[in-house]
Amino acid sequence: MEVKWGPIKGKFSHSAHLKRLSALHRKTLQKTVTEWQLPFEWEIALSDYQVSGFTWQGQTTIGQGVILYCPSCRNATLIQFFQPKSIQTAKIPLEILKTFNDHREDDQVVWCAFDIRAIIPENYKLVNHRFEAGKYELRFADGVQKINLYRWAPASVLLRQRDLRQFAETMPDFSSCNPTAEIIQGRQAVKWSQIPRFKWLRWASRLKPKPSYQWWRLWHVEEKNRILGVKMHGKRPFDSYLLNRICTNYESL
Amino acid sequence: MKVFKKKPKGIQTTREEALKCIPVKNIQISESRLESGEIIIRYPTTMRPWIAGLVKRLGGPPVKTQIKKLQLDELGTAVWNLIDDNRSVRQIIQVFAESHRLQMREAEVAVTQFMHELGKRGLIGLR
Repeated sequence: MEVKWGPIKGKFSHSAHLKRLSALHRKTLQKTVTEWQLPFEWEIALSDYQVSGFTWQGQTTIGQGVILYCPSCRNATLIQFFQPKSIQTAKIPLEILKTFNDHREDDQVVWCAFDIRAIIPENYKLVNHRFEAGKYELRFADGVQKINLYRWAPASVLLRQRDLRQFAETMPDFSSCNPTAEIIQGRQAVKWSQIPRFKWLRWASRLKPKPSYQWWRLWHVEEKNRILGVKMHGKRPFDSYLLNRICTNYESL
Repeated sequence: MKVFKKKPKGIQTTREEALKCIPVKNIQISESRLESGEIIIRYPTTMRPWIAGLVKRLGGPPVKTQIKKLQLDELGTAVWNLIDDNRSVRQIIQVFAESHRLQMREAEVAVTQFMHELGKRGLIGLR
């Protein structure tokens, strides 16, 4: 099975995308893609989307797929199922298509990469990511504020001769802040923040190139041997409800 | 005569082949353990000719090799201890991933990078 998706700007044309797919297949795989009338059950399962079907035949494999367009989130998705000619079953693709959903109803986006999973508001776009051995980082921004998600592993080694607070002291933005160790949702956590003290400083912070508001929380997920962290920074005050919701939904799988 | 002759490519190893290899420690190295459990590896290297020449001019002994030290951290020590001339790279990655509850892919990147570094210093070879 193969799934590809992407946002669409402007008008979406099924026939244009099918032509492009057909040309690509002919060039790379020497296969002819033809339009395909979807089975009735598939049409019901995908009734929320604008759908078109396609099929192609290889020497030993048959490909069947759908191009979906969701008018509400403006995402187009291509789902392709590869099956051997000898064993063809329509049951498994149907079960998968029944569960397909390309957006949530609550303006949130689920981000899942390797062993981390987070739910981030839709208006925050992914601007950068780093997956290094031992440290993952995802950066989101909405133009005003930025959210960074971190994951460190293995925690047992990182916290061998120091506690979470001492580990937090190794962060580059840490030096000027005074962190507090707490138990949050049953886990060891450290949090600290930086907010301009006076009203004139808060006003001036909007003119500064660097963000003046910073908020950090790190917590130790002992059973997974991970340390998770959330950093939010910007030039304006944060919504504490949003911060708590991001931290609550950020987890290690 | 070709002035800009292409260099011949070295031995190309696929990922699968590399994971099947068995790392072997260099017999010329010596290792000692610190109280913390971390390992210090001492290994000989050839002195650069200009340094050897300088030492000679300054009246020093004509030494061509020098002993260098490398201190491994906890994770490096864990991988080093797994190199026993029997385990393949893949098996070392599996044991490392299980013992530190890491994902296989992440453990693979960390272990292979570390082994690459050890190989560059001539501390291990692949069989």
